[in-house]
Amino acid sequence: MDARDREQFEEFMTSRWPGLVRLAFGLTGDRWLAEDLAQTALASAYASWWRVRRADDPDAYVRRILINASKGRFRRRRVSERAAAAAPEAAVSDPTASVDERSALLGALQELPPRQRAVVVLRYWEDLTDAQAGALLGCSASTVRSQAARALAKLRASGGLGPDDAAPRRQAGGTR
Amino acid sequence: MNATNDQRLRRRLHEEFGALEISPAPVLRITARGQGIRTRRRALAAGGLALVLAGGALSAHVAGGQQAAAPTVTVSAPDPAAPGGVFASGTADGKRWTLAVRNIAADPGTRWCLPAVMFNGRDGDVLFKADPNPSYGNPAFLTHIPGFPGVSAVFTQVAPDVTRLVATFPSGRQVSVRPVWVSACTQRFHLAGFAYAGAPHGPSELATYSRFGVGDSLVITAASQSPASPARPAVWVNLDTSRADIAISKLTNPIGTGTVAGMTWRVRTSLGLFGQCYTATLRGGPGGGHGGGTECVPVAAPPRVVALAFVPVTSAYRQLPGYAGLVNPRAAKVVVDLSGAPDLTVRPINVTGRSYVAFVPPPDCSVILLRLYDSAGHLFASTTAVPPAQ
Repeated sequence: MDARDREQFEEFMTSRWPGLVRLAFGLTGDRWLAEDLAQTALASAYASWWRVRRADDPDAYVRRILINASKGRFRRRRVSERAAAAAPEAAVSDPTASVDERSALLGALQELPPRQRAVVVLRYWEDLTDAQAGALLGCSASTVRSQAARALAKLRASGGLGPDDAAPRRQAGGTR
Repeated sequence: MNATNDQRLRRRLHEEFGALEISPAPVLRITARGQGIRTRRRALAAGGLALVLAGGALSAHVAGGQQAAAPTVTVSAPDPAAPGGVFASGTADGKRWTLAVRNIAADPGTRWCLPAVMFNGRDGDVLFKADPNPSYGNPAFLTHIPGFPGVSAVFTQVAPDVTRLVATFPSGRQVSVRPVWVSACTQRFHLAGFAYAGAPHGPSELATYSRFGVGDSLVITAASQSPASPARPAVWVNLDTSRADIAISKLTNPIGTGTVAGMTWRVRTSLGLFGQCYTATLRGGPGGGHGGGTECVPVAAPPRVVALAFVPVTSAYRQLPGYAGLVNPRAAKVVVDLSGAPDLTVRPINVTGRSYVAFVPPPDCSVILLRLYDSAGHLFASTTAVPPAQ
């Protein structure tokens, strides 16, 4: 890689880094794992930079690497979560009750099967079309739609979407 | 789909992910990792792999260079149309080896089906359907293969889009194989595997590649290939024994119980994680004590007659000779002829389509003959092949 390529890659890397970390965070729910996945994806992109920069959609290319890298980690992570017999008790009450709804959404996302979670993140966070999401996940647009519908139903049923807009929002310090 | 829910979810995700504070990109770390990947790929392209084209077949010589008499192992290019569920094959010192998926439940035509990967039709590892989208499954290793000294094998399921599995050995040598789809038991498995020389030193890394580049890599330590104890001959070792899908194989099923010398024995079996394991327990007797024993053997297909293992049933007071194993699924009754004691009649127990028998003869008796009867009461097989008491 010559100096010009390196400069191009570094520009690409620094501009895409936040988006890739957020995408990975959506897929994994784990901040540090998300950064590791983003690093993995960008390192692979670096190794194939000549191919990435010539791709029709370099962003899709790197997203695809990241999604591939995350697939093998879903299962291991789930297993490690199961290893804990019980959730540790909180020593003090959470002073930031306003984050409850955010946590509820993250928790509900983590309960979704990996593919449904990926569909939610690609469709609603990355704002990809069904066809684009399907291309990344290796499935059809109709599969993306059906997976999204199922995921949305689960998120709504589990309270992950939070209260309806018309309903009053939970107040800080309310009953937990 | 409800547009309001769509909007709510979109808004909530933007609130959630948008609030995430992102640290600056670790430029040096990423470029260093990228350079590492490039270096590996260059080694691959330059033939640092021991890949040799021979007779139109892609062969891999992966002999361990530090062993004086390491066998020469070749890996043939997989043939997707190969019959019999074969997804990998080659030779080891001129002897053919294959890795193939086979139904080990029962005779063809029964409703049971239990897929397993078998090395040369023997020594199996039960195949559990992996997550729909792993970049790799749970690699399994087979060392100390009877008839193949110095040879080991590895296989794993890979994601549908994986086009290559690349194994890197501690010496730096690499083996690259293409995965093959195999249909078995109404399921499809995307499998990649190969045999290699230099046991027990297996690959230190497995990496998957798709047409988009590197997918994922898995670093393997020597300890992870033999997690609890030295590998038993012909028993596959699964890399990740905590995996939820194979945890089901830890379930045990009773295959026999009885009373001998005033003590009650019970034998259970489990299949998959550590081969075929038989666990005996013993209760009662003098002082009301208890004991038991466990024996694990390679996973095998149903035998023509019986395939028994000796399971020592030990208590504080004595050791009884226990026997457990597979029997021909046709058998409705097995009669055990004993020296110095009346015959034992044993009813096979069906567990997921495999027929098992277990029995514990009285002390100081030995097994002379086993006779198998079908459901109509006809004798159809007999054998004197019984493992010696240890």
